[in-house]
Amino acid sequence: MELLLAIAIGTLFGTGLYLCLRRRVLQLIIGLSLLSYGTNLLILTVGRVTKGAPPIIRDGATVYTDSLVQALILTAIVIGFGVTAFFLVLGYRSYQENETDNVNVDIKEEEGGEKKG
Amino acid sequence: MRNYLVITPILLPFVTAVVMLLLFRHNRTVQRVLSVVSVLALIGLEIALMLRLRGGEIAVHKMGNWDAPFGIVLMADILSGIMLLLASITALAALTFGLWDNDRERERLHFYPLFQFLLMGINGAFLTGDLFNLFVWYEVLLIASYALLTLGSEPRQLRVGIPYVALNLLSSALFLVAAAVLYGVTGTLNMADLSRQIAALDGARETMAQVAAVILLCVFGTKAAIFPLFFWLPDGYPAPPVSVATIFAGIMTKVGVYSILRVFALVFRGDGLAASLVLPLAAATMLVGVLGAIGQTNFRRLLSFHIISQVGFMLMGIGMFTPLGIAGGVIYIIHHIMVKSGLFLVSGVCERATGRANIEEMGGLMKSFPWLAVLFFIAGSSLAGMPPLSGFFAKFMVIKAGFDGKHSLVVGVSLVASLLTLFSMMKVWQNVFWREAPREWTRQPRVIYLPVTLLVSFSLVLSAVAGPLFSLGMDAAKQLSQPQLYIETVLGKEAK
Repeated sequence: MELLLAIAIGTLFGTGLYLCLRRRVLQLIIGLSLLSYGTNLLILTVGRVTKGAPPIIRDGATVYTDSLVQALILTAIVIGFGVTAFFLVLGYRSYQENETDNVNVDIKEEEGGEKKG
Repeated sequence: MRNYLVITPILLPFVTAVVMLLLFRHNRTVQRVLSVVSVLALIGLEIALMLRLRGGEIAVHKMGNWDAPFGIVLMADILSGIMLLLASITALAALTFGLWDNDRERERLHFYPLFQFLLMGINGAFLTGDLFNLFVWYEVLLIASYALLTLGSEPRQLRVGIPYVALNLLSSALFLVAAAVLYGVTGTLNMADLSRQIAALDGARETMAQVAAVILLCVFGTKAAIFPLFFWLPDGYPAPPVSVATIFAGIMTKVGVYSILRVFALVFRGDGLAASLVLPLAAATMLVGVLGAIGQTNFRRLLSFHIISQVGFMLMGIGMFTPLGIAGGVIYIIHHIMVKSGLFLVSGVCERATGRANIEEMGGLMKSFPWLAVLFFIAGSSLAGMPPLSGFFAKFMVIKAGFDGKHSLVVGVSLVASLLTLFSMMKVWQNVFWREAPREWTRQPRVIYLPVTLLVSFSLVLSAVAGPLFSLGMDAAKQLSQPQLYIETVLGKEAK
């Protein structure tokens, strides 16, 4: 079972990283989302994958599944959700203001320009 | 032990921000007053905390009264106390500068609550004793920084915002990977408990812990802008308004340096592959940073490259993992936060006065603003390490520690970098202040000098109290060299 999870995590990381290196903002954001899914799966895997074991103390159970790992994943998901929402809006606003969604735009130094304000 | 003073640096900015958002959302004046009052109160509370920590005891607060290592603990040692105080002082200076510099649009877009949230995240990162909790506080401060960086939606801010956010998201994912790996091999995330468990690992588990250590070095190195992870900084810091850039430049990179110190001194006890990588990386960082600064003509970009170089100096001290080295690194952090924030504020005043961002288009500011020229001269010389300013003492400690540890190559690199820093500061002085003014510059209100003066005079005070400062640094370093102290305080006397 861990092998399957490891392959899934590797695929997610690989795809996510590939998308991160692409030129357009939306691909970057989707790539980062895939990376965070891979990370969450990794956290799940290190908590020792069990079958049918309860996370909370119950009479008669001898094997428990790790509930801390689930808490970590939940935290990571919520944080990731918030930041992805922000990032999507940032990408869209940047597209509106800069008229391009190319991530590799040259950051030209505004050498002699008048500063605002 | 229930130690409520420890949690106040986190609660106070949080409550301030929430009050501002719920009750005074459209009232600019109240928000401004509340911000300043809150940061002043924060400084007071942190001084009280430092007084309690002076005896060498580590103050611990158990969140929810759950025992460590099952619950999350906040632990305040001398290093945390120092960092908290420095963060608040810099925040005060940046805030007061922002009071005069911010445009109405940014204030309407919740600049002040965001500033408080940023401060909350920074304080949380300095106080936490749990690795995953460190991740959470990192996220809090990062999200606030994303918002502050792009506040105002100038095209340039949005353009640099995207790589900044993307890079930090990537490093957060890596942080989670490292935390997961460490949890998998030790079963705990509490820093003191990790320190105990990792020392007892061997075989495949020890290798995995080493892997996690290198990943953590990458994560904190991205935040601290070390070589080769610094490329986001010179593009990113010239974009936001000056008050935001100052708090970023002064504190945000130091959170990364603090994390490296905390994790590698306490959790990994200075051993291992990652810990031995810190020193060579520091040398590369020092050199590459200052070489990058020499060719720059944009004032803030130049200062940003200097941040990178100075982070290299701090890591040089820390990377030796000897008491003198760590003390030197801590003193360097103290000195640099004051001086760099002061320099950024000076660049802000220059930009306001001249309307230009390029040092080659400025000139003659010494005639129009003599006080500003004095402040820059002090701050710039301190950065380059001129005696008797604070930079000299900080560099001396770090270099002496280097000689004691026989790291001659790194010391040589640091001396070359110091010389080049001096050259760069002289170039700025020449271009901006000394030569003939190409035209008349607009007068600035006197009050705008207040935050800069505050920071630079703090730097002078540091050089005046260099003796007691040295003792403070050594106390912090001695604490950090004794992981057993943390283990006993956090986990209880019977833990071994």
